[in-house]
Amino acid sequence: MIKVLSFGAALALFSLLLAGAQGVIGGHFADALRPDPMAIEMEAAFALYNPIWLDSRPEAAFEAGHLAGAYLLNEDEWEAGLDVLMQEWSPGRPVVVYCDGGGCAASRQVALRLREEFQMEAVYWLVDGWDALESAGKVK
Amino acid sequence: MMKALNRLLLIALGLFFFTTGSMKLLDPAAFAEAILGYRIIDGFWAMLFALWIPWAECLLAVALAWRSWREQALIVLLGLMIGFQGALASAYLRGLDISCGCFGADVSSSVGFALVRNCALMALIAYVFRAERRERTIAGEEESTGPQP
Repeated sequence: MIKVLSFGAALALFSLLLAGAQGVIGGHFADALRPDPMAIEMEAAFALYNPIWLDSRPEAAFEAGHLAGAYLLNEDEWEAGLDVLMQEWSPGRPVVVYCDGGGCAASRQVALRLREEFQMEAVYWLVDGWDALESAGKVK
Repeated sequence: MMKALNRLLLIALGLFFFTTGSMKLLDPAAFAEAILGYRIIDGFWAMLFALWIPWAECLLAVALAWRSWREQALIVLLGLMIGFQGALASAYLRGLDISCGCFGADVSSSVGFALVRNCALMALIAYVFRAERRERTIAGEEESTGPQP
């Protein structure tokens, strides 16, 4: 038992040292600590002028309920969702993507893809996503 | 015959964890995103774990090659897998529709599938551990009852 515990502790420590070195040298920790310019809090999102809201949750969740006026755009239904978005969007018009809640990666991925592939400048992902909308009473 | 099969399973286990660890180490940002999807930890901690877990996997895979560390490595590996299962089960129970992140950014698998696959992996680790222990016991017995003068 002591052998296992000491082995586990040594392994945890050594791998933590390697992880720390990679995190510092590779700049991963700095990236993680830097605020994401594409993240937007709910109040700021609702203060934007005429934003397009995108729901990046799965289609079933979207059908069950979504923010009024939001369009479905996720990685699975990318082409269909993109067609609708492109009909609505014009250069400079802000786009806000939300997904399930805190830590949900889909909205970030969709926002990043829109920015990289279509050079959309004012594209954001909503911090805490659906959970934030729900607790603010914006959706039911 | 059984000894060769056990050795083969051990090598496969080592290669599997070394590969999955390396895949995640190549793109820690993507693995951190996957960790964030579980909604257990946030921001900096997700990145720390995104770097820490793959290094631990790789080191454990390497440790399996050394006979003196093998048993401990298998137990720690099993502990790590139990931890992964806990996180997966919690995501499953909360109905999170996320990719498990087990193989980095390029391979996506659902939480339900990952839970089943991990059960098989845990069974394999337990089997290899038992085989290793049996082999050691037999080797010890042979040593103690070796040729008498």
